[in-house]
Amino acid sequence: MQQIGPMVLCVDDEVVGLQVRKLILERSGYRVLTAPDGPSGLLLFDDHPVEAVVLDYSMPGMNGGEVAARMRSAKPDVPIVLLSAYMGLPAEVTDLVNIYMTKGQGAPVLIKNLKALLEPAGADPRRIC
Amino acid sequence: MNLKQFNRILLRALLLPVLSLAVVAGVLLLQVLHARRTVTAIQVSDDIIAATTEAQTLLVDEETGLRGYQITADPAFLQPYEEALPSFARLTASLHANLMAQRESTRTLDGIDAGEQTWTASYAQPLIAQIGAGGNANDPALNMSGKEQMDGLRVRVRQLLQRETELRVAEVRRWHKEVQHTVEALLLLALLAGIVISVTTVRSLKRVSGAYQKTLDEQREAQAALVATEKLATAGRLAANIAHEMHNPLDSVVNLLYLLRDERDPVLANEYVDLAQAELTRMGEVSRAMLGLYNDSVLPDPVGVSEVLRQPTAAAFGPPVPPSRSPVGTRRNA
Repeated sequence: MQQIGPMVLCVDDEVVGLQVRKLILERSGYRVLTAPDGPSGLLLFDDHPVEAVVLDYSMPGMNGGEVAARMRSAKPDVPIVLLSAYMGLPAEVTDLVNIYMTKGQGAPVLIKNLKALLEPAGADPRRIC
Repeated sequence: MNLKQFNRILLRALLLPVLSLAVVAGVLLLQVLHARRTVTAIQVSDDIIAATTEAQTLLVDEETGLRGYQITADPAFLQPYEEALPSFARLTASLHANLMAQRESTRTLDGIDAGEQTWTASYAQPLIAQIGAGGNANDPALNMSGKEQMDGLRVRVRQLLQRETELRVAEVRRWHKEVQHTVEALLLLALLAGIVISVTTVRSLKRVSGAYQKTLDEQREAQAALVATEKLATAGRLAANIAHEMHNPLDSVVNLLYLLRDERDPVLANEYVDLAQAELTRMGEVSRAMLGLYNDSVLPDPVGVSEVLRQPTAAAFGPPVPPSRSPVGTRRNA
């Protein structure tokens, strides 16, 4: 049997942080796509059947808020988790996303939030096909 | 101070000198009008004096003409008398009018007029008739009567002349006094107006200056508050940026520790440790960069120990060490 987890797109300009996040999510059974900036993240979002997005807010050029707005207009049903090292983002940004969390809360919290967004209560992210 | 108050001060500053000048002009105008009346009165007095002097001359002409006829019995000598008679009548009429205009008494003039008519009727005409009829021209009683009447006329004319001259002198004296009073009043008015204008202007200027200074002070305070707020905001932004730069590698280290806990593969575990090490080094660099912004004079700076030992106070620290073996130490700045 082949385990196929939901496809999660991670967008972050922090190379190491992005790499580590990918490792954590893959270990938890997710398929992970990564993008180092907003424009490449949007391209991946349009071209792939992404089921959730883990998006960093503070990025050079296009920030996470703008990326989330475009993602919402393209595929409004795809849940978005917004990550930021800053605290207290404006409401017009946090209203665009499903969950807003600060970096440093830890992997378990991220995994728990993704699970809550993607699966019905109690289901395993690793789907069997 | 608002615009309305400022405009009111400006209006007052404009109106005050204008009103003061208007008052001074009014006083001058009154004086000029009064002076005109006085000058007119003096001119009429001059006319009266001139007419009275001419009346004297006409009386002389009348008497001279009569005397000449009395002496020569030649009608040609009567010419001055005959010319003077109607002129005298016109003159007394004109004098009468001038005296009435000056509101002066005409009693003396009426006496002169009546006296002249009496002299003419009771002496001159009878004498002329008598001489013309070839009668005696040297009647002593008649001559004496004629002389007395003429003397009386001359006295009255002199009285009129003297009185009018005195009136004229008094009028001129009064005019001089009025001019002097007017000049004094104008000087006083000008001084008062100057003082009032100066005091009012100084007060207004002080008010405006005070308001301007207050506005400047308020602006300066607002500026200082703005600068202080901006500094605080800048400090806040800097602190947020520093926290952000520290938070990202910290998040990676936390996640790597999470991965390490359950990682059985030593190769992968080492990779995670290397990554964590790199992130911690990055945090250290950020921290050092931030510390480098703060210039603290008590921070140690490196010096050679042999250099320190060569200083006079080195004896307090023990024997010198050979240069080749002296480590680089640190000396605290004072």
